[in-house]
Amino acid sequence: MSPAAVGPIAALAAVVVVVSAHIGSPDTYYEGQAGPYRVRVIVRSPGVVPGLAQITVRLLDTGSATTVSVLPVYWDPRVAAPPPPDTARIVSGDSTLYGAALWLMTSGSYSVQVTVSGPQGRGTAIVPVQAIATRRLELQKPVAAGLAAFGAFLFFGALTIIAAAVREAPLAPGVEPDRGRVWRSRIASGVGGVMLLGVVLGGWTWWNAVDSGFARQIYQPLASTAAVRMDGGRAMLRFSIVDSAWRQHRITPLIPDHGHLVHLFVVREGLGAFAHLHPVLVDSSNFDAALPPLPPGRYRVYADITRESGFAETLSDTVTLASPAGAWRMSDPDDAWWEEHETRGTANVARLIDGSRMTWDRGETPLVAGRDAPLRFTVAAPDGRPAALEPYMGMAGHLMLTRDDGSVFVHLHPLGTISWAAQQTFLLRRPADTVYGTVGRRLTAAEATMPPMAPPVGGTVSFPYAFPKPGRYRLWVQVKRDHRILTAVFDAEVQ
Amino acid sequence: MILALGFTGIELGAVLMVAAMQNRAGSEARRGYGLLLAYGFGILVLNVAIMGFEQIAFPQDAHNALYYLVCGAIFPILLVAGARASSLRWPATTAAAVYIGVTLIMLWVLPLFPAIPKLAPVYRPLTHMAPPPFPLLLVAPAVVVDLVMRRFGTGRDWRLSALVGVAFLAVLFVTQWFATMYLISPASENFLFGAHRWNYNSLPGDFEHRFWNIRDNPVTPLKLAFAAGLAMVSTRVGLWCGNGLARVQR
Repeated sequence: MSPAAVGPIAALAAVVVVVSAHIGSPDTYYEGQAGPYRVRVIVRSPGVVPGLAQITVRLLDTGSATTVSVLPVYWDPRVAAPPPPDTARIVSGDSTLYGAALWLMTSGSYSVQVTVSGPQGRGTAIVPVQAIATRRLELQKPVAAGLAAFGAFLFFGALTIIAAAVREAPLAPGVEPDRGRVWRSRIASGVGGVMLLGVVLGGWTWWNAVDSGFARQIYQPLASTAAVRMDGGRAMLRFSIVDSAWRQHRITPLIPDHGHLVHLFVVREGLGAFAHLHPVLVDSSNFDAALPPLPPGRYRVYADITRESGFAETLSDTVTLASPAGAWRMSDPDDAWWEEHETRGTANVARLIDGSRMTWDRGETPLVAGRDAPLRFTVAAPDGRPAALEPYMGMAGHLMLTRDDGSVFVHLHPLGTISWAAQQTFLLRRPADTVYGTVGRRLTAAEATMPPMAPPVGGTVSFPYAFPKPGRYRLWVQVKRDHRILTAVFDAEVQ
Repeated sequence: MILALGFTGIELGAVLMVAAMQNRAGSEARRGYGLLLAYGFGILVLNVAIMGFEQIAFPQDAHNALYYLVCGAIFPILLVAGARASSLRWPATTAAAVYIGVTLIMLWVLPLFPAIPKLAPVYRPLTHMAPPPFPLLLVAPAVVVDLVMRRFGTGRDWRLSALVGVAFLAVLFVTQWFATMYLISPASENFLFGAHRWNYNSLPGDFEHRFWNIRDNPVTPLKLAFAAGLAMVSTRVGLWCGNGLARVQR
């Protein structure tokens, strides 16, 4: 596209490396019902496949369970039966916290079934988990040193045996070998050494082949681009999936999550502006969204998508706006945006555009990476009473958070980090679903007939999560009141 | 790999020690040590059969050329070395019988132990342990190796190599080519042959009852000749090793 066609807005695109389904946040957090029991489930990603994921299940209601079992299921209609579930054990004397380790054997989309049994009966929660390799485990130095020592012992031991076999094995006990035998034994051990080096070299080649085979498995998000163009005076953001695997239909199609195939998040570097958009499908690879009047600057663009396999991932790119985007006619009524201004409130209280206030009930304890973060927010109407909130895209609220350097970006719901659509696909699948798009259509039909979610009670929304690493974070919390989408902004310093 | 080097080293060490004991022993004790030596070679045969598991373990592989190339390369060296070094009358046959015996014990005993698969995907809901496949009928070519070596004696090792190499491959080919037709058929899905005992994570399918890789790697006269050549080389190396072992005193 020529600069003239772009007008005052220049678009730049660059690939940003994504390291997990969310960005920089590989663990899965889920809060919901397992039958009559309310549970919070955390699945810590091993980062390698096959790998051992640590899972903890906290029972949030009073009353005890008799057993908690967990089972990772990789969807495959050909399986005869699932393996038996693992029984989770109580963690360090806390009767509400259970832990287990799960083998994730194959890269891809798993549903972890958490089953709780107790006096109130039995119930199962399904937690979608992405099994992806994000790193290569280094051989630990003590292990490497030990193996090298054993290897050297065997190598030189073999040479000693060869030399002894040639030098004195044929001689009767007590007979000294002559000079000829000594020399022949030296030559034999030399030749044997060369042959053994060949064996070691073969092993080295095999090791490297296995290693590079694993490196090829390391997760790469689908290749995607974002670009801005002018269309009839409107600035349009085009998000495109350009990956050859996608274009050749080698992977399952997208399914709508909360009614949208793509959730786009546009975050200005410096974090002073933010938009949550839902682009319109142009064709199977391109999506367009009208840009709100964001200030000029460089923006990170994140796209949350869920595939029919239940695999949810975040794709990303960057764009640069040379000047404000101008008039905005939103592409979708669920679109919303925010720009920083002086009167956004104090550290724990955010003023919202309709005059209401959102308070972060964060308590006095500092936020610590890896520990449950108190992400609980209460909205008060202008008269001070708890606000009557409405579901926003089927959820009580949405929380987007990013680290100031962009190394973390996560889209949370009260359900946690999971994709709701992914969870639904595991519930709606049938063994005969072999045609692409079948589950997606069933999901869309089911969503149309689902009763609306009960509105949040007391104006309060909470999100299960733990920050993945220390640093400065910005949080955008979005709720809906009186048919308006309200965005509150908070900052957090995580230790 | 270090594990493989380690246990191979231990097996070779045991063979050397038993060879020395046999060679120093009087005529009465010699037979016992000879039996032990043949047993040691049987374990070595089992060892290489396990290392070549992917190429030769399944009877479904017995109609592709790689199967005979691998067998021609790895078995004669051990059977012939054992036959030359051991004082038994049927040393190669004994070594082959040890390999078959140990594998059959695994085939018949392991399925008696209850076990269930713990890792997905589980394509076969097993309730007991899955054993290795039915072994190669190595006894047949080993009998021929023993007969030819006994008849030829020592001193004409180059000619012996050519003869044993060809004879080994010919008998192995005829035995395995026809025996595996039964072993891949539904008729062998019983306790004795265990053809139905597949691993829990192998997807059931028609591959169980057909030969593998016969289009990619068909058996041709040229490839069989090459396999016979490998068997000759393997036999010659085996004779060198066996001659060395026969002289070991300590």
